[in-house]
Amino acid sequence: MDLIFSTIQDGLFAAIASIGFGSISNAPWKTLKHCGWIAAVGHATRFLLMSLGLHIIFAVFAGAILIGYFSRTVSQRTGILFESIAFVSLLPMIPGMYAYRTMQSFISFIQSSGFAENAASIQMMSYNALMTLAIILMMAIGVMLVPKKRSL
Amino acid sequence: MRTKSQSMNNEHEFLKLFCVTITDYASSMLECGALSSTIEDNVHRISDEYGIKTDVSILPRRVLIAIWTIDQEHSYNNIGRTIKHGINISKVVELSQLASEVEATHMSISDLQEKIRSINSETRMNPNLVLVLTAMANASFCRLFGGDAIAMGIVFVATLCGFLIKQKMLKNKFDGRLTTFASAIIAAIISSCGIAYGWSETPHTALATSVLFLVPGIPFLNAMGDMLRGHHLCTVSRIAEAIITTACLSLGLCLAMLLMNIEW
Repeated sequence: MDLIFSTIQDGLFAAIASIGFGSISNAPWKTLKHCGWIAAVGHATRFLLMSLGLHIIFAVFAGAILIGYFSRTVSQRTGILFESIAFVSLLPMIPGMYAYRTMQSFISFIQSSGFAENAASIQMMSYNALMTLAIILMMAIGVMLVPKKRSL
Repeated sequence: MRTKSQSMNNEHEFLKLFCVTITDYASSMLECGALSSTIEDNVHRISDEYGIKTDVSILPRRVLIAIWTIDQEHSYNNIGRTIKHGINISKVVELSQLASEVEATHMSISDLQEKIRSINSETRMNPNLVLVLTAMANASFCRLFGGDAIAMGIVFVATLCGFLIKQKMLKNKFDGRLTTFASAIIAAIISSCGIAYGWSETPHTALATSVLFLVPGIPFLNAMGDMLRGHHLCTVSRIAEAIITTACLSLGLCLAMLLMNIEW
């Protein structure tokens, strides 16, 4: 029950985050109203899968596929550009913390002295950089995986 | 009765006008952050409607357009450049819908030019509304990372201040990277009050998430979208810009932590 409540809460906050960050990029309201619920579904799926023990990369991939599916459906029903819905819905899943930690590790590498400290900083930097790239790549692949329905 | 040379002149005038218009269209889409494949698809849709073959090459700050008549008798080339930069999804959506409108209504070139001009001159969302929505979004982000209600409040206020600085600096034509750096410092210093005064049980979450509104999410996604569709030059350019922005916000956060004497 706690897990269900936490998942719903996660989806709700992801919806608010998606609408807010979408407004920075001047997304129109007709796009934002769909991005909210689509982001909620994707992010809640990611949260649920991670709570059940799945690695973040696979959980993000699954969430992105759902976001891609619903974005494609809405795009084909309303005529709104697919990428504008999908990318704004993906914004709450962007790995900002990993990206920031990459830069922080780089700064600590410059400041550090001694082989052990340097090695630790490089390891942190590599890990965070690769995680950032891998997560964003899996998000993009997941979203693009959903094909356009062709009319016969 | 029109002579053959008059007909040829009219055809050349039409081709030149079309070339200029389609270049404006493509560079407008590139300016506001559309995917390279979206730009190509829409340019081809419009060109097919006017019975013209168009080849478009997308560079990071330029579009190269080459048009041909169907019989391959005449061709024109043009280069468009991007002037204003900044993601504008509303413009991308409207320009994309304009391509559908051209297909549906067979509008004249002058009407198409007029519509492009009108889309380019539209104003963005109310900045105060964007400010409040961004602050709410970042506070929600704080919650997603496990922050408590007080941490969310701290992040809300820090984001309001940081984003306001960003809006004012961009309005006064400051460099985007310096703007990101300054916004990050302000947001981080304000959010560090949780650690300084012991106001929250998750003050480090508040500090870490206070700058996340500056993370260039759409540029990262656009870069990956371009990579998946084979536009590697634009991928590298977009990733480089996104990395630079991320570096600026990280430097801002690190400097703020140094000034406030906070260890991570």
